[in-house]
Amino acid sequence: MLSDAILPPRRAATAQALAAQLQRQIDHARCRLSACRPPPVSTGCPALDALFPGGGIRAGVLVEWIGEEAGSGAGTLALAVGQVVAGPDRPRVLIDPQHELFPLGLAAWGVDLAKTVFVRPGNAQEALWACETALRWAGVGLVWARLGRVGPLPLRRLQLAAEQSGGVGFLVRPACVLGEPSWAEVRLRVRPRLAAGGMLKWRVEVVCGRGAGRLREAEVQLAPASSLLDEGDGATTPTGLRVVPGLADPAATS
Amino acid sequence: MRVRYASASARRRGIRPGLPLAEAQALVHPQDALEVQPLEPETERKALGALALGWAAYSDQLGLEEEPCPECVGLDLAGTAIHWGGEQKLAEQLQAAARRQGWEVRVAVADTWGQAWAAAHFLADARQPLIVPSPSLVALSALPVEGLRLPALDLCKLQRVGIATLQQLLMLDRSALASRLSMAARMRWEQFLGQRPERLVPCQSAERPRRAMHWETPLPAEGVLPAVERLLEELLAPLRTRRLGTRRVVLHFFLEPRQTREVSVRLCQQSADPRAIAGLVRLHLERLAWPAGVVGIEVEACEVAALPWVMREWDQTPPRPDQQGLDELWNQLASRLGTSAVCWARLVPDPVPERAVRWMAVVEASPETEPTNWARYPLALWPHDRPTGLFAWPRRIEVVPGPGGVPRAVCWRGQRWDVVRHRGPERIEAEGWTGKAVCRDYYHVQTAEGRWLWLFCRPQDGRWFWHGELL
Repeated sequence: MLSDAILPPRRAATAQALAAQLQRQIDHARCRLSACRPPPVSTGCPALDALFPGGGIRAGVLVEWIGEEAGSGAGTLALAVGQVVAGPDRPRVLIDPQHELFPLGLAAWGVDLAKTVFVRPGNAQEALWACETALRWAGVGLVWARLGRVGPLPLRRLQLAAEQSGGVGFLVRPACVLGEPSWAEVRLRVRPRLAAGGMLKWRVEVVCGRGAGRLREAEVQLAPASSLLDEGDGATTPTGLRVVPGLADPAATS
Repeated sequence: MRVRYASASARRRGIRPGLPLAEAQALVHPQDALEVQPLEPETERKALGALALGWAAYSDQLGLEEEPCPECVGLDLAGTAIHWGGEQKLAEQLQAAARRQGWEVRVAVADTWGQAWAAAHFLADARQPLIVPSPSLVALSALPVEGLRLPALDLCKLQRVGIATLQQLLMLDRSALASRLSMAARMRWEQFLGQRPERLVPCQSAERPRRAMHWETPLPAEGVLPAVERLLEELLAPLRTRRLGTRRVVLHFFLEPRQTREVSVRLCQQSADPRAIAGLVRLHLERLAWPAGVVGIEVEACEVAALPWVMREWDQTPPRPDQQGLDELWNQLASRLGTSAVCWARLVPDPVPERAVRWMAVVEASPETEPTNWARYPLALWPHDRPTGLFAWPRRIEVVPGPGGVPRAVCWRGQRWDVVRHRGPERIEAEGWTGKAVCRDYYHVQTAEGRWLWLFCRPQDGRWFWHGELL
């Protein structure tokens, strides 16, 4: 950082001019980059969209979902959002080094198992490698990974891999990484809330991000056994109606 | 036991496929020396594959029908028949080539694979090939509905309402028919009409080509991969010219004091690309320790088969994005992490949670394991309230019971979580003959902090376990 206090006036003016020129170049590059990037994809929930810069999830970015503790549902919320972001045809890669993902539960939450490949590495290092390899592939719709503590360099590699392929990576991480630097587009802290009527409710807060969204925090809720995201602003009254995606498919009703 | 196939001399005695074996034995004369062979699907598949590969000169796009017990070979003759004097002459040559190998085959040529299948089964005979004039649908309309390869249940339905021929089926309203038949039947009907792609399974060859190199002085570690690449190129070049590829490459590394190391590279589908396979070998070699110098390498191509393809004429739909090169990603992941670490999950109708999922390695894909071919149970039939995370082993916990035995607080490793909401019990019980006997009362609980847990109580001893959670 250049400081006027330690520089003679002439050099300070030059430094200021240089900084202004650099800023203009950065703004110009950012404008050019945003012009050639595809528009952000909506998560299907306006409150959640408002947390992301641009009003949705852009291609070629990482999003960190920080769950407070076990059973917080951060990974499930990330998966529900990922189903929308990945699109109907592209495969999803779920990297689960703990070998705890339960496909029967995922299917009930709207995850299409025929399009989902489960990667079950033996340790965290292999999980990181698998995550980077999958993120480099342009045909993959979503890479969802449970990662613990990771250094900034491997995270930067993940971000570059996503940027290069235009893929989207959702990293589900524990609360202990909150103090660590991040290369994600947005780092979201997900805290479960008590909700009536059997709904699942979370308070999602932006911890840090590249660019600001419209909101800093939002409450979202998910109807059990469906992938229907809703704004949990208190105005919504759960009706108890469960939307089962399979029933909407005429083939499934035969 | 029933007769599946009968030779020409057996048929002369009145033995037909489907006849009980005892009846067939009663029909033959003592001097006939009847020979009964048990059905061996794998041997049959191999023999059929060998027959098909013998026809590779007539079409570079050939394969077996996609069935557990295939009995048909499909060839795409589009654009090739003209080089053999027309379809009739080409079909005659195919039949003659098979006859020379001791096979009795029925050959039919039609507009779509489904129509050719029906014509071969219900119109053609072993003496003369059948060329169905185009449009072949008109010529085949008198065939029985069995020619559509429908599931038995759908055939029963059609027979019950008196529909016996394709002509009768064609006269019915398509949408009404679609709502009454199963999804598999609708798929067969569309394949028959050429409106849906048909996949043929590449035929496997019995050959296992191999190449080896030996050195008098041990190779340096950095020289191993280039040597492997050279060997792979030598191994795969002759296969490539015949449009063959391999699904498994086994590499034997000979080390100096009479030691060997073996590396097996499994692929999602046949490949003849030495650079791609060498890239996968590199992932294996990164994890391999070399206690001594390498003095010899042998590479062997196993599961040699025709390179995969989908019939272009009958597949009007653009290829799905997940088919465009993603196999290479699965190959890479499986090579580094192990084949069982990259898998599809197939749901099994078993109430016990840990037995409700079958993991299927992506690189071991076969017609039966591909997700698109799985029997589809309507989602509504599966339980909807399972957690997204399930522990490999249930964790022993202490529970403070409330009125009626429902959990009021959960204690785990010195922490206490108060339960504010619960749902249950849900009794899950399975008897011993389906595996380990299980009897559990499951509860979904939400703690005061908001976390969702899935607990169960064993009624026989009252012990509580934590089995899953919302990840």
